[in-house]
Amino acid sequence: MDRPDSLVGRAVAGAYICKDWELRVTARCLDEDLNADEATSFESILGLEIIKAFVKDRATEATASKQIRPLSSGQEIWRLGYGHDHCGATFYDEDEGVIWLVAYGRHRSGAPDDFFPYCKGLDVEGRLLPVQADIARMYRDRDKWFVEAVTIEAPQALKAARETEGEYRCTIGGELGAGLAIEVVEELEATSITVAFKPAGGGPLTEVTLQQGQVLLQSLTCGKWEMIGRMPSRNLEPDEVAFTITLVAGEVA
Amino acid sequence: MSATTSTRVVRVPENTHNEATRLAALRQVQTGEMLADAWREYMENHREEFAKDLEKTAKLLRDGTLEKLAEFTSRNADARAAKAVERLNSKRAASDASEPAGETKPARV
Repeated sequence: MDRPDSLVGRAVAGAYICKDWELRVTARCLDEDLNADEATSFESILGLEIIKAFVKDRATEATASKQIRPLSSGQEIWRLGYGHDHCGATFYDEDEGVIWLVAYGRHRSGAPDDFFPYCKGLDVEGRLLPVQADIARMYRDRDKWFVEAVTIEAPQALKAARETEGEYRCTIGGELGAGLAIEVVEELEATSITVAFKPAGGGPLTEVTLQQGQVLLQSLTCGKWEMIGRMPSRNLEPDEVAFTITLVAGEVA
Repeated sequence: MSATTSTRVVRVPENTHNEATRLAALRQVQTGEMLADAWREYMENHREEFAKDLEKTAKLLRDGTLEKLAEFTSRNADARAAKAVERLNSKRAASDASEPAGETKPARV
């Protein structure tokens, strides 16, 4: 997924947005390791030293020079360090485009609360990796950004499509690849808008894409869109769906 | 419907792949052809549901707030997250709980 440029380098809701991924902290780590509220915003923890190190070290590099091992999660967990003995553990989920801070502590060899045995304990208990609530929160944040972006970008795309001969192609909300074609039928004083969409980053059409497409269609113009099998000038690409709506004189798009 | 085909790789769960391959063999069609049929059937069966969701989205855009629209867009977030967690945990393997953890340089591939 591409992220809107306007968000890159900013803490938004529960994340810090980087160019190629976002940084997040699991609820367990927030609560138990950072003594913060599980639902806290990323901005409110930006002052913590480990979070400063997280942003500094993981904004451009997803991994580090050392891994925390052996763990049973089967995932690569990377050490994040700052100062003499402060340690964090990060997990890069490439499929989702997110780096999680999953644990924080201090490395004092032999101490009962030493960071590495602590990580091992969390791993054995199945509490090291992000859980369903963490990921659902991420999805909700992303859906919110998408909706906000669409309401701004859809009218701009419609304007550009009106000025374009043939089909106007664009990316909406960083996530949806869209093609817009406007046809004016003068004798009927009607305008038809046809829109095809698919995931911007490639990959199969999913339920999420369809939900995002619904927001796009209704942001272009509220009304009864009909699903169709092709664009005016071409067949649909695999993983693409198309919809059309006809507006007669007096109806506004 | 276009007869254009794509050779792009789509990842599906192994069980789905195996079942689709077996069923395609029984029906004497290509697996891809059968999956395309299934996709068309899905879209046809969900057309009304999709239309209802479109109406609801339109209503929220007209009369609701962006917050409400975002909530509606996220209506399946928990189910999607459950699938993501399943994917994360699929690599889980038994490890010796008594073996101490430490930091190491990644193994060379």
